Amino acid sequence: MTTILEVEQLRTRFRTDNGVVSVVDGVDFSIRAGETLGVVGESGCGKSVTSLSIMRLLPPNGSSGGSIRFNGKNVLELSEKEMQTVRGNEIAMIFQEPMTSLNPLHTVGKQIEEAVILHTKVSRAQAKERAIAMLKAVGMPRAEEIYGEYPHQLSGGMRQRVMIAMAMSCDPKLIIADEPTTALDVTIQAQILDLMRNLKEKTGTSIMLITHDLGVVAEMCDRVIVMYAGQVVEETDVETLFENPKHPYTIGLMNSIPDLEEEREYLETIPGSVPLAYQMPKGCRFAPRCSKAMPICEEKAPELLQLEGHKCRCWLYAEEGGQA
Amino acid sequence: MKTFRKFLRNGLGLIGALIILTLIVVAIFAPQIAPFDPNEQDYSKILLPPGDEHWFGTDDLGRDIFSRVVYGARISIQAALISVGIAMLIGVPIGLLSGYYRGFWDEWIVMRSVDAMQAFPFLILALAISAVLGSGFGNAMLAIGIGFSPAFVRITRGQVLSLRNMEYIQAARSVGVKDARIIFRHILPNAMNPIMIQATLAMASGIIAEASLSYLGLGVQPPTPSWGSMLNHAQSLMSIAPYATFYPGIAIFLVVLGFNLLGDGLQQVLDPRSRK
Repeated sequence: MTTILEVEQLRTRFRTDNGVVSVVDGVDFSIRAGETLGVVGESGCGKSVTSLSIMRLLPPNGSSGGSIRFNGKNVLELSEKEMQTVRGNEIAMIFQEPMTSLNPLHTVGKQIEEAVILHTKVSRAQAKERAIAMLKAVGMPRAEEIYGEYPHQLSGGMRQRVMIAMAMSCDPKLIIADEPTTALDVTIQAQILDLMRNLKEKTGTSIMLITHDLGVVAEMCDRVIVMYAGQVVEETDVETLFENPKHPYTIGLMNSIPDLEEEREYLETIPGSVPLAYQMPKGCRFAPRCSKAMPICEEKAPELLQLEGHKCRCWLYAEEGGQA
Repeated sequence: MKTFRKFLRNGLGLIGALIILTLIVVAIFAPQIAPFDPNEQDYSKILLPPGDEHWFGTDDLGRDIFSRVVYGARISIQAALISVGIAMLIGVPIGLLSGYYRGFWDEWIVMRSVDAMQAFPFLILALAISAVLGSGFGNAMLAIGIGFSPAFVRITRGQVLSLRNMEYIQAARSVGVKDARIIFRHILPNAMNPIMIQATLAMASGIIAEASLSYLGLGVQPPTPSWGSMLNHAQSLMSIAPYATFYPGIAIFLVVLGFNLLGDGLQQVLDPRSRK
């Protein structure tokens, strides 16, 4: 399988009133063609900023360093004009909030068409045909009517289908889905995940699925990276992650999922919260919240160690012959 | 059509529209409606109270007040449309660009200039600009338009600042839509409601501002009738001829009310979020 996206030492910083804040700090990962990569972590760990860095859609005070190679070319070195031909055409995005991710003043059809007209040389009639075909492909009933309707006439699940139709309309090679089901009801969540999986199988596109829901990861992903405080702390395939999580943070996340077979009075929580980006601990960033913290953890930041079938950023495994 | 029918059912908005429509009709057909030449002085009929021949009475130069109010509609409607048109032409694009691109220009050039302009009382600012440009109706309009423009910069920029972070703007950018199209097709239509409300309010103030400048000799030159200049001219006659201030005053009041009702009505009908 060929690698279509390769992120190396990605650093994204924001200029703020508190000085320059580093939100993503040396992130490495790659996505192969046709693969679904899960990006997991709690709010504020830099998942969304990573995706916006790939799309080059950061707010004006943000800037990225390192390299993001998409199909061999470094996205960070493209001009804004070249980038506009990549967005939507080669990499597309699905957003979290279906209620606010469609323009309330344009019809659903016009919004799907926009991408088609921008990236392909087709007539308006052909674009309309394509938009209706996409609406059908995402399982919309009465696609011709929906084409002329406004977003407020649709339910949340329907809008998310429209968003998916919009993202898929130009057959992108990579879709970044930023918490695509978080705002939906559980039953609708399952439908949307099914839809994404089916479309992926049909078109062979790769998906970068950002989520904090490990259930979604288990259902959708081939490989997973776990992020904490702007860094990758663990990377492995999905089976290994659930069977043998290594990093104390990942283990903590696993323990905070309710389990039907096990009787527990309380769910476990990870004490504390993600450190603020301008007050990062000197050593391991997770050390202040870690139950297994050792003296070295507060002194020196661990490297991302290469273990068997696993990458993990933790001192616990340094003796096991893990190599940075 | 659906929108139009809905507007017809919007009672207050319809009243506003009727008032403005009446104003436009009166302005266009002023020569047919007015029974007298608005500038004709008749010294045998000075300060007549409202009666059969002179419906609104006559002023201290024997001019028919009804005819002058009718002709004054022409000046007022022009004042409203031209001054606000100029203000929007200047203010909205600056607000859009400034809010979308942010940075040094936005923060330090545009917004500080807006602050500086808004620190002056509006009339003083318009007076200063008029004094530089010279007197006359056109220059008065330009002065009022420039004076109003900071309000449009501010309101447009504020809208853009909140809209540019909306997910649907991000979504449009994420499919590769170019900046210009984002600004004019995705942001501007969504920012239009508060801008239009500001515009209707500004039209009302534009009428008053034109009246004030005319009174000070910087706007419409006498004897051309404008409601403001009539009002100001008649204020010295308040105790002996109150009707001379009443009619132009009522005309200003009605038109300002009309613009406001129309603005509210349009907003309720045009916003698809309130469409049922």
